Amino acid sequence: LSPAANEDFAATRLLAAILRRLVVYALFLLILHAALFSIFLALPSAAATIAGMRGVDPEFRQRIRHELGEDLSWMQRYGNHLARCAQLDFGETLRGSFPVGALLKRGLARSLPLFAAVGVGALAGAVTPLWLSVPRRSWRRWKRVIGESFLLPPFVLAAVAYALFRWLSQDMPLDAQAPLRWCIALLAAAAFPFVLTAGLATPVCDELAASRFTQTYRAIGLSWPVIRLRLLRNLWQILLPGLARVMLLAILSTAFIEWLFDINGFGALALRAFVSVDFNLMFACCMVAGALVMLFSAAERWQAE
Amino acid sequence: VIFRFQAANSSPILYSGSRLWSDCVNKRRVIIGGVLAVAIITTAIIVWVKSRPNQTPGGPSAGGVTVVTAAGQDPVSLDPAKLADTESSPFVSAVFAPLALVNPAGELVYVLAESVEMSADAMQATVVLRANAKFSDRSPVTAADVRWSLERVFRMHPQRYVLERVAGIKDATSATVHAAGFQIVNDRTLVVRFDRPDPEWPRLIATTFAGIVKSGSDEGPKLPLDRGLIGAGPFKLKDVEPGHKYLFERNPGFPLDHGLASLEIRILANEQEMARQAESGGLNLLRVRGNLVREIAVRQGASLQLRPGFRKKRLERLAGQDLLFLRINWQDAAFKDVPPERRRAWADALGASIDRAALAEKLYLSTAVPASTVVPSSGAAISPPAGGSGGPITTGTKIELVTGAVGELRQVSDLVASNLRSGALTMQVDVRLLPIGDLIQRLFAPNYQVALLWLESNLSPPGLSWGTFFTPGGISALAEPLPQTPAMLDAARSTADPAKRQLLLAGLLDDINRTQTALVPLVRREAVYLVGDELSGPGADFNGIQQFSLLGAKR
Repeated sequence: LSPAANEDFAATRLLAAILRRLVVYALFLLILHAALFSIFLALPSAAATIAGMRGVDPEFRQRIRHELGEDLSWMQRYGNHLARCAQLDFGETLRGSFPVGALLKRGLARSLPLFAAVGVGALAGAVTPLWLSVPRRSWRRWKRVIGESFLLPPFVLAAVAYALFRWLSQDMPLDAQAPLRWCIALLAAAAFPFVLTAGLATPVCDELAASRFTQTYRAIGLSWPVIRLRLLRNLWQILLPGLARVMLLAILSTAFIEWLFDINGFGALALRAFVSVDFNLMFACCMVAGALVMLFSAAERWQAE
Repeated sequence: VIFRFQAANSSPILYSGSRLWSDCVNKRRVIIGGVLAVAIITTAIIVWVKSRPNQTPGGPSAGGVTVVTAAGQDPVSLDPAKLADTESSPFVSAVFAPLALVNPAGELVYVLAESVEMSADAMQATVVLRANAKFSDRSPVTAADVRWSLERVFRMHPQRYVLERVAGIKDATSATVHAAGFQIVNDRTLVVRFDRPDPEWPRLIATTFAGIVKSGSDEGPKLPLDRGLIGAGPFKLKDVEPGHKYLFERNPGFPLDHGLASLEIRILANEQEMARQAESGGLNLLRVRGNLVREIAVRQGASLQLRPGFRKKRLERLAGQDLLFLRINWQDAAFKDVPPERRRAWADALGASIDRAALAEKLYLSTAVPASTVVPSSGAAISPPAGGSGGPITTGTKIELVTGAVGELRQVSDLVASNLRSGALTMQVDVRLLPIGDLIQRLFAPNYQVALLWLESNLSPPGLSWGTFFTPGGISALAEPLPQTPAMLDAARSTADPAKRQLLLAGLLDDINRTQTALVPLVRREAVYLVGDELSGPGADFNGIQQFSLLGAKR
């Protein structure tokens, strides 16, 4: 092939790969939607719950079933639901009849600082062992502590943070507690991914510190900070496939932190959906979580390809 | 950046920034110094935070007192005609006021009505509205609004029996067709005619779900919470953050002078957080349920004392109309072979195995009393129908006890299960804690053996409301439909003579206590409120349910 034809061929292949990936993701979302729809259809429905709360009068029950479109056939309901989901309309909440889409949007926006803290924590967790590992002999004791600290479950960290918050805020007016509440919640959100990625990164960093190219860098006169920066790139390449899972676990831990610190974000919303058996909200939260999984796996896959 | 160092009488030495850091700086000292600096700064912040004086929000402001309270979850709707759960009740009572309410002393307190007069034969009621009663949109509350609201309640609410005796009410099938029994005399006067005597009618509609709604305000587009409906309650919904907080502002058209400026209801699913916020002064009104009692109070002799952290607050305890009980499902395969005449004896044996006094004392810190009867007793001796125990249910029977995974019910169910395992029946008990929705499903299916349940009456007067739980249909699935109850209830409700009516109601209650077989009473819980000193009381009705129309600032 001529260079021009070669470029065209490469571009076509890239386009085909992107399209193939998009089709796979669309299929994944469709299957996820169908699975969730089937599960929620098999469970006692939200309509029946409401009707139950209002007594067993068949007239009331029938009217509520009609309002919720539950008197249609299975296929009609599935089609309607799919069409609404495609427009990001997930219906209304069981309690209050709030639009689920708007609630999700607000919840995700409120959780953004916590998600950012998770990202910063994960990055710091990857970088710290590198700094402590290179030069190889420094900070061995600290490395061990950090390397083993990933065994700490997230709720222990969150509970410690909450205890600290309670202690600091016990004499403060409630309104004045908000900044402190946020600061400690952000620290708690960052702490879990920090120890998790630090635990994963420590052995890798030890290997990098002992590697031949590190010795070569040193031999050609590069300073330690420069060597660390170069090694960070190598570390990133190694950790990236696992980082998606780390981030997901960390995001789950933010749900716990939101509940503990009374932050009305996405995690708290999802917890509330499951506690109050709000089917529309549960469905939407599962779809968002599924889309997040897809997003992270896409990044992972992209790197692999 | 190049750093240049030159000592006297020597040639200069050049360093790059990174070489300077790696060769000349004692990194260990820098890091130890950094850690020490962070520790000093953190200590300084902590000392500053701890030394700040405590302030209590929610105190009197220029426009009156701000009430801040908490609820466990969002309301289903603000529409009074859709009110079905006690969790939504405070939200609805903030926006909508009924004609009257019954206070904890059992007296009728007029809210939107100036008076509700019953004729001597109890066949007619004359409702006169207060001249200054206005909706939150400043329009006056009229007789037409009252008629429209009550007809709507009859069409939409399952407890429609409170209006079933209004003449022609069944013909009012839409907003444009009215019951013949409602006659509008003028804007402020409505005459209500009944097709049968209904002397308790003013008290029957003295409840949250009979809140008055502005006629036609449900015709707009459907909004979350049905917030398009216009009420004449003490407050008007101003702002909502679902799952977090609800802000209400004062309705200037509310006819009673309550001295309250605004209301905030925080959604706090976590009981610890409720206690913490109340302690730090963030809440000045809180319904204290179950486990929360232990968080805020300690037992001192026969009374409860608030913990020292709860400054400028007091505990108020109301009798309430509440019952915690076990419901036996006789239709279940394990029990269906028990002959009806033996059921009561077996239920009594089950009840005798449970240490009710310990339950009231240990779990509720004496804010509950052991219950020996299902409904309040007239004091007459109860002699249950004859019949021995035994039959298919014997010692060692295996049962599943279902209950809601809410509040203190997990501790109660543990204690009950422990009693049943170690008591005379030595039963094998599996406890299953279910989300409320699932529990309701299983109750109405019915798909359970024994359920640990609670009744919070939200009706008045108590005799009639308790009777409805034992009338076939509706919410009787929670209790037990008894065949003779409807006739006795009907007779008691129709009797115009108050003394004779009380006698019939007492007879009805005694009959329920004597004949029912499915319920095992455990304890009656008080309605306990934590109230800020700036408020005159908890603002609860005689059921112990929050009614913001009855709440006021201390003068």
